Parts: sequence; C-alpha cells; structure tokens
Amino acid sequence: MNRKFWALLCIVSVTVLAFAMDWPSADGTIVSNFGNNDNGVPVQGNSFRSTGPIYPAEMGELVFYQDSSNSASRFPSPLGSWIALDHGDNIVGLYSRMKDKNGERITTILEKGTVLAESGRSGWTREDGFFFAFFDRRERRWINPSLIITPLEDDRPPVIRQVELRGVSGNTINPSQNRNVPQGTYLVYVDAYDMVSSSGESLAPNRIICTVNGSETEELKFEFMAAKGGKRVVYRNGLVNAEQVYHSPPGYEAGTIRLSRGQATLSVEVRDIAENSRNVSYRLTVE
Amino acid sequence: MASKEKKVLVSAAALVFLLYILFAVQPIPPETVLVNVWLEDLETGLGEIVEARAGEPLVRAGEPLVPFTLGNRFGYAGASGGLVLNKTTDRYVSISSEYWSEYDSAPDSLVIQNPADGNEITVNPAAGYPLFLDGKIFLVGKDQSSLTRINGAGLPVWRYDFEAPLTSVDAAGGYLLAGTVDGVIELLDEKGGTLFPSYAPASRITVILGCRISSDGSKLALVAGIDEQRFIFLERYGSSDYRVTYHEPLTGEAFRREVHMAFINNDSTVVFERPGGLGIFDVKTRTRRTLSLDGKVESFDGSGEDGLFFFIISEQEESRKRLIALSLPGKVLLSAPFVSENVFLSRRGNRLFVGGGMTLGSFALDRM
Repeated sequence: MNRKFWALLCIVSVTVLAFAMDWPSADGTIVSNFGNNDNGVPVQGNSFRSTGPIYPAEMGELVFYQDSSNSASRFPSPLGSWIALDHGDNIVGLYSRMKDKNGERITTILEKGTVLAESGRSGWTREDGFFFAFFDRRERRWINPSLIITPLEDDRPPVIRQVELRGVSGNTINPSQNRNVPQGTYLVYVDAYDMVSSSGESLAPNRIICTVNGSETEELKFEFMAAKGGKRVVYRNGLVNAEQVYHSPPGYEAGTIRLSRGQATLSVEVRDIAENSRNVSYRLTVE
Repeated sequence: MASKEKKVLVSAAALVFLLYILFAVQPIPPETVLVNVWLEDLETGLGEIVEARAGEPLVRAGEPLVPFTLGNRFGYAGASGGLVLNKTTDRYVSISSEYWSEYDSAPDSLVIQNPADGNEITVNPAAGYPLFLDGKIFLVGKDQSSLTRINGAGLPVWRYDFEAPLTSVDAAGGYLLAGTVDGVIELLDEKGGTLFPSYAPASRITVILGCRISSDGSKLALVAGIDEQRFIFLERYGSSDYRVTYHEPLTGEAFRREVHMAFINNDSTVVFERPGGLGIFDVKTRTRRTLSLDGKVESFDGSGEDGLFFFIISEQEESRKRLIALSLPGKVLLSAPFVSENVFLSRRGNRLFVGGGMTLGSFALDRM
C-alpha cells in the first residue's frame, strides 16, 4: 500500500512538473544527452550548444552556486560556473558550464523567466552552451530531463550500428555475419544511437530491449541513474553497475541471453524518448 | 618632627613602589609585527623568474615551496625568498606544494609536474580535473560527482562515485572528506572505502556548504543546510564512529555557496565563515565566539601553530581588501587595508606570503 502510494505520488509529481517545465534555452541544440556513453562513463544530463540566455526550467529556489569569484573552493570545478535550483517536489535542477558569472549577485528565488546566466564556456566544455540535469532528492538519483520536460520533436528512429554476442570465454560473434552459434550464455553488446531531426548529433536512445524467441530477456532503460556504495548504477532489470553496461568505444551491454541447442531468434529493439523504434532480428542456429 | 614625618613618608612611598615593582607590574607583552623580507613584481620580475624545465627540480636545497595563484599568474615562491616559478596562463591550473598542472577546459590528457624533482606524471585519458590534497593526486570527474585517486604512474587506483555533485572537499591524515549538493557527507579511507556516509541534520534544504577534516582525521567540521544553516562538529569514537558533539544554528542570511573553513592552531580551533563575520570554535571547550566583519572573507591561512590566524576580507567596494591578524581566540592584532582585485595568502612557519595586484611579498612574523 505504502509503495503504491509513493509510486502514484511520483507519477503525479512528474506529470504535474511535465506540464510546468520548459527547456532552459529557447535556441539550444542538444549535443549530448542523458545516458550517452562518454568513453565508458554515462552522462547524467543534457549538454546544449547555445548562444543565448539560460532560464530556469521552472521557478526555483537557489540551493548552491559556484563561480570564479568564490575563493573558498578547494577543487577545480568541471561544472564550471554552476547553479543548483530546488524546483519543488524534491527535484533539483543543475545548470552548469555557463558563462562565468564572476560574483554577479544571484537572487534567492528565481522566477521562470529570469535569466540565470548567459550561454558560454566554463568547466569541462569545448563549445559555447551549458549542461543541464535533474537530481531527485527523495529517490537520490538523476532523472532523464526528457522524462520531465516535453522532448524535442523527433520523427527519426534510432540507428543500430552493430550487435555483438560475447561468450563467457571471451569469444565474440557478430550475429549478422555468423548465424551458427555454440550454445551457452552470451552478453549482448549493442552500438546504437538516436538522432533528433534538428540536431544531427548522435544521442543516447531511451531503451534497448533484448528478446529471444519472443520472450524479453532484459531491458536497459536510460531514465534514471544513481550511485550506490560508491559505484554509478543504471537500470537494467534492476540496478547494474554502469561500468558493466558502458563500454569504450561507445557501446552498451544490453543484457545477458541464454541460447539452447536448436533454432533461436534474437531481437534487439532500440527506442528513443519519442517512441520511435528500430528493430533488428537474427535467426540463429544454436549448436 | 617634620623632618621625621617626611622620612617616614618617603620610606613608605619607596616601599609601596618596591612592592609594586615586585608584585604588580607585568612585562609589556611582545607585539607581533610583520617585517618585509622581499617583494616581487610578477610582471616585471625583479626577482629570479624561471620557467619549469622537464626533469629539473624547482626546489632549492630542499627548501619548502609556497604555491601561489594571483590573477593570471601562478607559480612557486621559495620560503626563504624569491620566485622559483612564475608563469602566465589563460588555462586552468591546479597547484599544491607537491604538484602542479596546467590544462585546457576539456583536456584529452594531463601532465602533472612535481616541482621537487622535476618529474612529470602523464594521465591519459584525462577523466577529470586534477586535485592535489594531502600530498595525493585525485581527479574530479567530468560530472563533478566522482573522485579518482591517481598513483605516481598516472594510473587510477580507485574511483568513488558520489550520489550528487560535490560542493566541498578536504583531505588529511589519509582520509578524504566530501560534501554534496544533496546534503550528504562522505568520509573515505586511503583505499577509497567509505567509512561513513552521513546526512547532515535535517534542514528545509539539505546541502553541504563546507567541510573540513582535522590533520589526524579524528574531527570533522561542517557548515550545512538552508533553513536552518548550521555549524556541525563531529568527533571520532572508536575506529570509524563519528558523532556530532556540537552543532549550532547560524542566524542571518544563509550562505548558498561554499564557505571558507579551516582547522587551525594544531587543530585546536575551527574558523568558519558565518553570516556577518567569522565563527571561532574552540575544540577543547566546545565553545564558540563570533568576530563581526564588515566584508566578505577572501582568503584564509590556517597553517600557524602559534595562536595567530591571518585572513583577508574584501570590503564593500570589492577591490578594497584588508589583511587581518587574530590572536586566538579573538583579539585583532593587525588590520591593514590595501587595494587589489586579486589576493593571495599563505604561511610557512614564521613567514607570511601576501599577494595583491601583481605583487607578491614575504613577511617575517617578529615579536617585539
């Protein structure tokens, strides 16, 4: 009962926020998004290429800010000039890598139309823009911003570059080239990306689903991320160490499958946040 | 008769004077004065200005180096005098007594220099920005919510992912203390194992605004939360059980940025920014004093062991600065105004290093 209540409350909160929140930039282009594989490390928010002002996604209360004028900090900040705003419902918005505010005063309550900062460069960035993310204080996890703010228009399905099976002994099989597979347990590696029409950037998809003979084995979701016991974890039929899922060069360990002797159909479906999907299937002879 | 009375009076006066000399008079306490030892103009370079060369130590006959950053300059001063390294940069710089590194905003790799022996450590790929604390090398992850310990070969030893972005970090005695924007404080040991994650006492908004650890790792000090914002002091009981032994709500307009904090005077005192001034917490008696300040703290130095504490504030007009010396627990010994956009303050033993504008100076602390 209690769990149902919290689940319902969570859904209602996210739904309410979804109607209220907007992207922080009117002209920004997403160049990297939640779930992206950054050389084996998951990205926990969205990076924008932009030149204009940055606004709060919704009215918020200032929780923390950092810029070059603060001499108390002991560490170099990859987030650069950054601001954390409490948007209510335990959602904290993180606006970072913006043009350095250099001591410019920030009011405590920021209305939705207030300019937070200008797009620019500070912290870990190679181009003008900013980085934006949501953190859920109650669940202590990062949320894909596209779950809360209406995703940008997208009618292109994701692209699947490659699917690879890796056996426990380390042998790799490309199912598009080799249809005869020894029986056993395999990790399914998927190299896939999404492309939003307006951007042209390679973004992370929203989910990758593996099925064998029509039965879903595992589903990798790019909706939440957290850290447990000092390790970054992602959601794939439960919490999985991100190091296990994210590989360099870019690719995702989408799940584990068990192939028994006979004929088997392996399907990999990749969906984006707008529910466009791409599916590849391999008819395998398991020996 | 009159002569006899006069003699008695004179004798009595002499006796009183003698007793006063013997029992009442106290020696005049020595005054602390700053005697200028050297001044260097970082632009024109009146002193020895050298560039670092790979493989060559910067240190002179084992003397300690004082790292500095001032405006677009960084480098090292020799404790006994002069500049040992003086560089201009428009890139990012991380610097400590043991290491320094200059790097781009999104570096592919890092070169970390050791000024003592001139050796270079290459970290490739660069998974974050270098942070030098407690004589060790760490990388602050790109998302600012992870720390990676790097060894002398430039290889990762361990990596720790925090739940939320880091707001404050300190390290001492082999321990690393980190606070996050969601109000969690985590203490890690030498191997990156967590000794405890702790949630700051409930406030309307939980956030860590400052955290510091004593030199032996047995005491922790925090400024945390908004509504209420608090100063919190924890002490270790047993091997890894830390308990709050003092906490105090801080009245006034809450900070929403990292605050200056330091354990000073052999860990006997914690000084911290508080609304309207400086909090001075005596560890032994667990009592706190407040020093009102008309300005914002710009720089702390807590390295002294002689009951003296130096800091710099900026006044209403931000380019107006003031160097203040305190005799603990709270007597102002020195208050010297100066004008500068940038400041630098550090201390090694009885030498104070102060920077402003493009000038760096060394002062000896003398008691006269």
